[in-house]
Amino acid sequence: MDTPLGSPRTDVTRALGGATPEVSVIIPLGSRYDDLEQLCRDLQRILAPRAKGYEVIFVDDATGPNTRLWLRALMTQYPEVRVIRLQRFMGESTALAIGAQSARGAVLITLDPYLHVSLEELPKLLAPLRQGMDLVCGWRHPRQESGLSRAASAGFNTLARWLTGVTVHDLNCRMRAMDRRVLEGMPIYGELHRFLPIFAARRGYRWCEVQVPQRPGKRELGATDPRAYFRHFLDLLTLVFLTRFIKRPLHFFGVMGVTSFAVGCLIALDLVYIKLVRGSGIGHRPLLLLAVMLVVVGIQIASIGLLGELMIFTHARQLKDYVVQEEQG
Amino acid sequence: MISVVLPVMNEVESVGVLHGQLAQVLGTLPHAWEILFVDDGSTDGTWDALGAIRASDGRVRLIRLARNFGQTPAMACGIEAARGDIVVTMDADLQNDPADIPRLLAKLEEGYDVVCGWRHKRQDKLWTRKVPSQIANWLIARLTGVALHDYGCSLKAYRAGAIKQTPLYAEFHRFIPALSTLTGALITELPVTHHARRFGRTKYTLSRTWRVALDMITVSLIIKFSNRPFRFFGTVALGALAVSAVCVVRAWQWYVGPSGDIPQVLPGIALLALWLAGHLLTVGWIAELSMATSHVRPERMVRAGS
Repeated sequence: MDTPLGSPRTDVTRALGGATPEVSVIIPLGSRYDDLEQLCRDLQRILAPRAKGYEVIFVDDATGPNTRLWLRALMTQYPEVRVIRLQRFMGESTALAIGAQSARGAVLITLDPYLHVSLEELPKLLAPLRQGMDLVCGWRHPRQESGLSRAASAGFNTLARWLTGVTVHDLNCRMRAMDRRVLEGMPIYGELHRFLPIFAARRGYRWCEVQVPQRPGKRELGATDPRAYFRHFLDLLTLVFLTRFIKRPLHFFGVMGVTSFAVGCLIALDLVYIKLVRGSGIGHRPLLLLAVMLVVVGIQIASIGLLGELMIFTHARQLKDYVVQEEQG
Repeated sequence: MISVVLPVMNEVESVGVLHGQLAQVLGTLPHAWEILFVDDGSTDGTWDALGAIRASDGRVRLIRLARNFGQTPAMACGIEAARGDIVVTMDADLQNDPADIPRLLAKLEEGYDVVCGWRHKRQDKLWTRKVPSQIANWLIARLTGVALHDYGCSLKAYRAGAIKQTPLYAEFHRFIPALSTLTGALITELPVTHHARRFGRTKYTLSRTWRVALDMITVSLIIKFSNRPFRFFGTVALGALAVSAVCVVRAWQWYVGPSGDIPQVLPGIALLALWLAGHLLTVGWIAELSMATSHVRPERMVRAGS
């Protein structure tokens, strides 16, 4: 209890008034959730002795009127509960980001409302934070799902490891605890919240995974839906672009474009040689069209790279590519 | 106020000596000053050594980055945090001499915004350091149109208004003089002394050449086209349109000719070129938009005292 948890928020705590809680629990509410009252009760039992004050923020992602009544009842019963209601469905990432913006705690805990992992495991995530970790992610192990869905999940995580070089094991576990500054300036939108450990690792935050057993009978929503994995795969590609090439678009696109351009020129030179030296016509040869197309595609790719570079260049002052760990003076 | 910004990476032996020299030189100046060490993920106890320095001198400020990010991000971080209206950057390996700082400042007073050090008697290995650097300097001067002798010297003095507006990312510290001209800064250079390395090892290797070359092309493209990107894209687009038109005319000649048969490739090329022209016009327009909203423009530079 003596070591302070996380970096306190300095900008709005005074404006919001009241005592600043040490921990903010952010729970995006989608279409599916468990008994919320039980959840609040458990959080009170687990967090009250372990943190200097905490708050529970439900981000109501445009669920039905019943949820609204439930939440209102919860707010009167539990003073630590706050509710943010979104006007229309925004998705889990945006809900999380909005929750984090209004969170006052120095430590943020994200949870799924259907509790894949029992709340009893939460202290396991808080302990490494006290030892100086910036982000602690749950890693559901052992899993309780069917072999097929486990294999799909393992494949997805392996692919992520391979593409990013960050040793993650469970990107889909929502139970995470972090210092609040980890979320600041993170591109968390769409469904990119699941890749938080990868963003954090890339920016130099200290992070770790903690094995937590999955509750029996809790299945991942849409885990066996192939469309969901297709979407996740596309998100993973987005992530590779955002983390690897965001700073150097011209290195990536430029080399690709110049290669295509050069191959096109070589083919064209060969055709010129055929026409001028051998004297045979080339007007009917598809190879000529290929050469022209490679040149055109090369210019296109390189120009997109230059455009990307200009955008990074003009915003370089806002896009900081370093993370400060400590400041004195 | 003068802020001296020093990115450090595994320089545990140097920082103490450096602080002593700096404090002595800065003490002779009439200005207030601060020394800002940015520890770029040192692993050799540099941070503790810096802590001891700060304990003895309150004008020293320390920033520690979460891991090793590289010289440019470390420098950008220090410049961002600097509180002075004049920022001096230098290497922490004792190869630059703090005694040159008053001369750089005097040059700034003459009305320049950026004064670059020029290591005209460089004390480094000839083939692995000096020759590649000479080639790079010659190329950068040609490509960027800013003629200096030594782009690699870290010892520079800036007016805060000029350097805080300059985009600094990736490994662009070599191009600071060139990039700062985009903000309308006036640049000059001044010969400075250069010492041989006393402690530790150099962090430069020849393997960087490829990336430096790509960066050089990038920066020169940005400098050339950032003012009016649409002119560049538009010119290439007009070229593509011309190719397209020539192909259409040729196809027409075949069509009205004796055989009445068009070589199939001609309309293909005409379409591809037309497509390219359309693409370049849209890309050029977006580039123009992004520059129009940019802050890296001479008219947006904050000039102190004017």
